[in-house]
Amino acid sequence: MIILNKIKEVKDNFNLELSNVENLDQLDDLHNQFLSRKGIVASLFTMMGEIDPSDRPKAGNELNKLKDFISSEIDRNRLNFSEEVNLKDKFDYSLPGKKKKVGSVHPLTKTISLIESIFQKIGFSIAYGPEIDTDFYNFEALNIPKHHPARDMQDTFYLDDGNVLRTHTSNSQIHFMMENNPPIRIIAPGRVYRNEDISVRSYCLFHQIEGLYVDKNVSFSDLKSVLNYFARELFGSEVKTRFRPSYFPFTEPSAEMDVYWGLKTESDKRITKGTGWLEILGCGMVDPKVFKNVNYDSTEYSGYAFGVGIERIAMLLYGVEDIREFYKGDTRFLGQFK
Amino acid sequence: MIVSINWLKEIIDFTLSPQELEDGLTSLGLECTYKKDSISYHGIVVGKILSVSEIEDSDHLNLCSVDIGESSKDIVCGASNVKPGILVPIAVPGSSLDNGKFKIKKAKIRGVISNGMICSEKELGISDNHDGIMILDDSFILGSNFDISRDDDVLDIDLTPNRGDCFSHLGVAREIALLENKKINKTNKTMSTINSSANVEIQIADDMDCPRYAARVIRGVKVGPSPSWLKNKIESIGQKSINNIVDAANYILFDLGHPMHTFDLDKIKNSKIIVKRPSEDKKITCLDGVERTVTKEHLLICDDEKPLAIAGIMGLDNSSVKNDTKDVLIESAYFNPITIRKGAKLLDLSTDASKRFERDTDIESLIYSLDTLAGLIQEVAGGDVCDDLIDEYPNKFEIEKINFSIKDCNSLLGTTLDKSEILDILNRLSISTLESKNFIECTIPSYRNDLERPVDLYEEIARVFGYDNIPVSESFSSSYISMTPDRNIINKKIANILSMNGFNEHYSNSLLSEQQTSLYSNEMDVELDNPLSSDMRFLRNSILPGLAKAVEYNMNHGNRDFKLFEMGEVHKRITLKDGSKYVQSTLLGLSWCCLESKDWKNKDKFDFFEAKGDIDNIFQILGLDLFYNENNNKVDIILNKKVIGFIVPPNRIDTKLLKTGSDVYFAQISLDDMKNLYTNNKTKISLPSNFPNIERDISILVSKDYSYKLITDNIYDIGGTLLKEISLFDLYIDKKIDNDKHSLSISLCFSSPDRTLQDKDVDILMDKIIKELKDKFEIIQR
Repeated sequence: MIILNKIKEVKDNFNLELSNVENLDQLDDLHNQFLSRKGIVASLFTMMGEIDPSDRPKAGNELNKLKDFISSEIDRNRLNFSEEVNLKDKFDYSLPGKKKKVGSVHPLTKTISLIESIFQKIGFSIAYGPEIDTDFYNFEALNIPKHHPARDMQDTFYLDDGNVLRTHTSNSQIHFMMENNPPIRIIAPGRVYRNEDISVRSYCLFHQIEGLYVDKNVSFSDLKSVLNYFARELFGSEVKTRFRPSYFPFTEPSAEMDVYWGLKTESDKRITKGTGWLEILGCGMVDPKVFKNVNYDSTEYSGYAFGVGIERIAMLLYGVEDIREFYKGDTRFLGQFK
Repeated sequence: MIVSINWLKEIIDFTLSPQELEDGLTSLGLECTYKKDSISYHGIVVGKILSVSEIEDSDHLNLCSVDIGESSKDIVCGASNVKPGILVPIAVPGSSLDNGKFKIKKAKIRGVISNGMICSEKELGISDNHDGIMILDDSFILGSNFDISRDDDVLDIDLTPNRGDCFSHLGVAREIALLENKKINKTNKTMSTINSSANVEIQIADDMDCPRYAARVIRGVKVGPSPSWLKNKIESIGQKSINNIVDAANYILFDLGHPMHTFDLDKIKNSKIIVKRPSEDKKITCLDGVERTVTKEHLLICDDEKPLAIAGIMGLDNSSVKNDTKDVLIESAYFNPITIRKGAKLLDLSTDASKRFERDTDIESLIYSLDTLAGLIQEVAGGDVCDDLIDEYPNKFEIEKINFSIKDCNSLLGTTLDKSEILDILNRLSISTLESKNFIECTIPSYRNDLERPVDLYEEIARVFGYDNIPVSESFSSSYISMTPDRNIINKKIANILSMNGFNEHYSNSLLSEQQTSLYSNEMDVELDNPLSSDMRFLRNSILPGLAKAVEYNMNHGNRDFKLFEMGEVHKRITLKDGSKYVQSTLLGLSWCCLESKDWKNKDKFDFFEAKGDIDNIFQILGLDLFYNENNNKVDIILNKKVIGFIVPPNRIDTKLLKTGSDVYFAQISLDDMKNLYTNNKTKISLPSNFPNIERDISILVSKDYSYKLITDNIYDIGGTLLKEISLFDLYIDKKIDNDKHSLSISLCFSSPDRTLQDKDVDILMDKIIKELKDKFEIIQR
């Protein structure tokens, strides 16, 4: 078949021409010469009509192969001249990519999640309590009777029917114990309210995480070790803690845990009142009166509870000095918590 | 509470440094900080003003001639209390104030040379008092170096409400005694009595309110300034010296902790004291000159015809000790802490006395306090103490006895203390012990009202032993049965989706103003009884006002391209026959404020469909199908036939929500509704077909009256199981053709699970679809 020879001739010719190509323009010329609508390959296709119909499938097949070969060779060689492309077109790879907005979760959400994950690792589950609650759940059941000076520890928002905006997440303890039997291991995050003037260090609402652990033979030693673990996870394994006696009506003994923050900077001195120690949380062994209020037998069960202020931890973790920043919603602030 | 270290040293001999004291007391539960008494002035001398003459054309400026010992100087002074003859602190040229930051130089004021400055207490850094210059008493020597540093450091103790027993130097000294394992020196002020009857009668209406009332009478006192030792003592803890009688009572208050009151006996009608509640509301004038109203909740100290004091809170002006007082009645009483607290709360008044009474006082020590005060008054104001002690104590309090179990104590604390260690600690706490077979019977000192149960004693053991000495347990025990799923897992998932899609999470104040609340009010708003301010009177009923406030804040600060979201609780109050019920629900709020995206690759103007796409995205990831429906001023979001939220387009935003914001979108979605569907939604995976998809594109011109959803629902119906997905890839309105019609370009994707679809299979379906669209929606295929 003449046409097969013709195909081979074209292919050889192409290879020869290709070897002489030196730049992209010449390659484009070659492409046009062989593959354009009036190019060499197209002219071969027009010859198909003239050959014997029985030869057509084979010839067609060969012709298609030739076309694919030329096309792929040109593409492959195009890559070799890409640097030249760059030089010629001044393609600027430093131009910005298409903008995607970068969002963020709130620093308080981040802090809550962090604390949740620390306790979830050791088998605590997450529970929740309501923001509006009765005097019983927020105070009485927690052994804070009416007309007790301990009520001064928490300035309370009241509703006209005597219900309160919870002053602490400790109400979650009572709700959970009323609805469940020991053993209990929960943490309960949430929003709490205090009728306090708004300032750099205090806001009319803030967030806490409550912890509660009730079982047989739970001791103050257990409380210390779980909170030491918490402090290590939060601030690093080198952290130094201390426990000192405090007073909460719903725990006995009651304690506050401090971590050693140091006195290196002026800010350290200010936030630690010159002592180097920083209060992180309040805790203690659940008071037998609380167990009595939820119908647990305090001769059989003991337990510990703790409460962590989220804003305080977030301020430490992120170096935020003014608590009000958390509630402004300034995207220049929020956007940094990726 | 401020305590003076020198004062403490009079009660207990201790060697701890102030730093060790701070650490030690803190470790016992008296959180304290040590404050060094330091002076900030340098080179100040004591001068005497010789003459004062007004400077012409000045606004009350005087030129004073001042004697500073060797010489006299002319100094300009603007204070109104300047007068000849007084001793004053003078900052002469070369001296300095404020730790050297303010150097005193000769200066020309109104054309007059001033050789220094006469100082106020504030300028000296002694107090905040700036009402004129400081006037010195005769104890200062003219020309000498002015120095009022007391060489005394103080501790500022943050006392917990349970430790009323520590509300004095004596109480703190007892704690120091624990640290040093020493006893305190308790010395009586000697008091000489005369053989004379006080002739005072006491009546207690209800001994629940006032279980004990004791008094003594001192006749012939001379009221005047306190001697300097007493004045210094009172001032060393930041109190103000008033006169010798009041200072003496205050001194004993801060020394022993028991609040006592002194009356002018002549003002007590018929020398009769009646402790009772008023039968009706009464207006009275207290000794601070303020008129207050007392109610039946208040306990009063009265005579035969009038009230003399609000018991345990404050005396009245009509019977207080004044300069002409001759005979004094000292009251030393024990009042019910709850009575005092209720009364003080109602008056919104907290005094040194009420703070102590409401934390509970020591009923057994009040005679000791009374006699000590009587002795002190005699010492500083003279007079004779009548020898009859008046003491009404109808029902003696029982001494508290607690059974201590060593085993229970060790198991609660996780310690292994033995009996001797425990007995030692109890002994140091002045708790007397009696050992029996199973426990130790402990007798509690009367000042420790906070110790009532064994567990209270275990805490005492722990704090004296040292919390930091309690061992830590080495292992943690967990429990499978206590593990429960987190019911808010969906919130966390959504927060992640949104933050990954360019939203910043916001937390807003959930206390709103009436105006903010009125926007989404349903007459079930939760109102606070005692709001902090009127713009925070309601608990939020919607998440949007808080978000809008943040949007406004950002716009005002030049942030113009952002998306915010917030998740939070909202509340409503449902009034029932027998009270009200509160319903808390969790909402997701979204806002888009994309005024200028400033991106060369994205020049499309932000519109409704961008916002809708963000919402669609959440639901797609959660595997929930939702619909939208226009409804009045908003677009409802519908899930499972239930409206679960809405989008507010910019032109529908109430100006009460956002004043300016022509291009801001808001949406609010109920997370509770989503949660219920999501948790029941089991993800089922369908295997993809092994055969290739076939796509067909069509463009149709159709009236805007027919919604896209309606058209595609019809196409899906006809397409049946083979039609997998419809995508809209272009929408075009050619106003030249017809403004009421738009052209939709739709791509349809077909696939069969069991064979390769042929063109003709799809052609048949496409013909049917186009016919249906022509019949139903009068489309023109383009």
